[in-house]
Amino acid sequence: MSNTSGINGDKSSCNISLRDISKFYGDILGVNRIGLDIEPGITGLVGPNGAGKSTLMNLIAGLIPPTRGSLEVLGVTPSDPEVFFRQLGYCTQYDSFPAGINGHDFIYSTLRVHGYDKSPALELTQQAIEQVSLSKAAKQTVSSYSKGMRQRIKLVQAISHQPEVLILDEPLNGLDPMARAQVIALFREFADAGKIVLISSQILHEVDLVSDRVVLINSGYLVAEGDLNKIQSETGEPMKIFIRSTDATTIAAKVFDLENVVEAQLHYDGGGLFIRTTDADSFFLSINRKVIEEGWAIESMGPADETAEAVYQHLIVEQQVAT
Amino acid sequence: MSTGELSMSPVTAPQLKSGMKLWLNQLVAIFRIEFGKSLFSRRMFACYVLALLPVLILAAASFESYTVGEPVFNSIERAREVFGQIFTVFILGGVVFLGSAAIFTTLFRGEILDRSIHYYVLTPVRREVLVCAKYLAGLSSGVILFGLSTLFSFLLLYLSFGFDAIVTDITNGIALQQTGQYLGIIFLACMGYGSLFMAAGLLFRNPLIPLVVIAGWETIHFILPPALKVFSVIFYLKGLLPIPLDEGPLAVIVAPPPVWVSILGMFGLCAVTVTISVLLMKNLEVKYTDE
Repeated sequence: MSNTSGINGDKSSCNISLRDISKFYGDILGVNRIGLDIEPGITGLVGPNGAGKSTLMNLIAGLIPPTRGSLEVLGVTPSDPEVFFRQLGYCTQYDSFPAGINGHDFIYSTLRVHGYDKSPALELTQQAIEQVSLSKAAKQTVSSYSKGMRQRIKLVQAISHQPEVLILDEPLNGLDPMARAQVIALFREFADAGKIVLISSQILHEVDLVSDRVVLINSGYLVAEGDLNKIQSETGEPMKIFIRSTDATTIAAKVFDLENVVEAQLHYDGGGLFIRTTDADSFFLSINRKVIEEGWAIESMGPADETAEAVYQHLIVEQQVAT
Repeated sequence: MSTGELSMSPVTAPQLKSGMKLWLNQLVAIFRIEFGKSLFSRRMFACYVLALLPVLILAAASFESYTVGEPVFNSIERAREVFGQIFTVFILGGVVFLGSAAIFTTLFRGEILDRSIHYYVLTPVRREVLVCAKYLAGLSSGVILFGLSTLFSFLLLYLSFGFDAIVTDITNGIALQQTGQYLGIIFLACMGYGSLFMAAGLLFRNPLIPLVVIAGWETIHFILPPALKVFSVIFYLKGLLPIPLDEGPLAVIVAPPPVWVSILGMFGLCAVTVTISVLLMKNLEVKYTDE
């Protein structure tokens, strides 16, 4: 694990800590009374447009002060900018750059302001430019770049000073599928090094793919947070499980003998079935016993809807429809 | 581009300096960036045109002297008087005033409008340091540009009187003294107007409004009562002019302030307005207008 013990060394200083934080723009609510600890690893920030995702990220990044409450990133507050901003990299959603700047100078000038001397700053800039395959375009103005190139240069600018916390607002926008996969793997690499990565994205299956845990917000309020399995079970919604088996028909006939099963549906190919249960843990225990007793051949078994999308659907979309 | 390639580690992060040494390093780094931007960006085109205008006017006068075969002005003393008028009314009241507005209002407002101010705000730099570095960069650009414009204009004044006139005035000290005074006034004018316009750029979404108000105030200052004259920049600068300006029959005549009052007045104005800019910057929330 890299240097994530925080400035003060205690455990709380390894996290992003938000304490009852609120932000109002005049009478308009940005976010309200959010208390949250974001640990090392990848956290996906999910919510509909206008939910307050960008406000929350801007608060964490120190771009806007909270109206109420307090926040610390690795034990440091934005009132100590020399330390706070050294450990933080933020790739904003704004597709804008200083007027007339080229790709090379964009990275180089950032590093110089961060305190790198000329030689290491040049070395890091060169390295960064090569790493996002922009060597040929390095001396062109960023405004002439394609959307994907601009996204790549923005991303590499956010990580060029080697931060411990990486905040990414819609980082996958404009990237082609190959670049997306590579960038997602980069986030994983960061997280595996013990760093905090906070990603907001509208593309839920990508959040799903990359996140260790998710934070769901809606209308400025924290709806749920934690790992998807935990959130799923806390929602009280029956969980959908898929069993791949050659004995699917037999299992479907007997599965209602088990406790907490509320629905069973054969897969269209007959080689599997979907089951809905109100208590996944006890279901898995009892189905295992039944498999041994009955001698059913099971190829695989696992949650079919433990996804950010399913949780989002239940906690946000259905609530919005209901209200 | 592979993920392995994307990770960056070989270059060691800089040692965290602290206090004055850190601030000075950051000030120099930002100054270099901003100085280049404020002197060589496309936004500066209008300032180049403004700075060229007095040079072109005096070049035209010299050219006419050359074609006619005698100086446009009767004597070198008269020429210096005319230059004094041109400097006060045109260079100081027009070129430096408008040029400072163009340079200093865009120092922050330009970056807020093109949504790039967050790149600075996200660096480990105190906003006090950022404001000072940008201000010094703007001041240097203004002084270089308008100082050179004044210098060339003054030299062109002598062109029609021949090389001997220049040598005589340089050796007896008049030319050097007056050049020094004009350049000093340019420096103080850029400092005073610049600090006002920088604060205006942070305070107002449309800096045209404060620009018009300040321009109006500076223009009518000569008819203002003495108690109000002290609140205009031009009042202090006029006290430093080598050749006193005739302000016309409507002017409310007051004794010009002593030189030390003029100089301290400009430094005082600069200190107050830069401090206001720092406070505005410290309270700046980076949320662009249409959010």
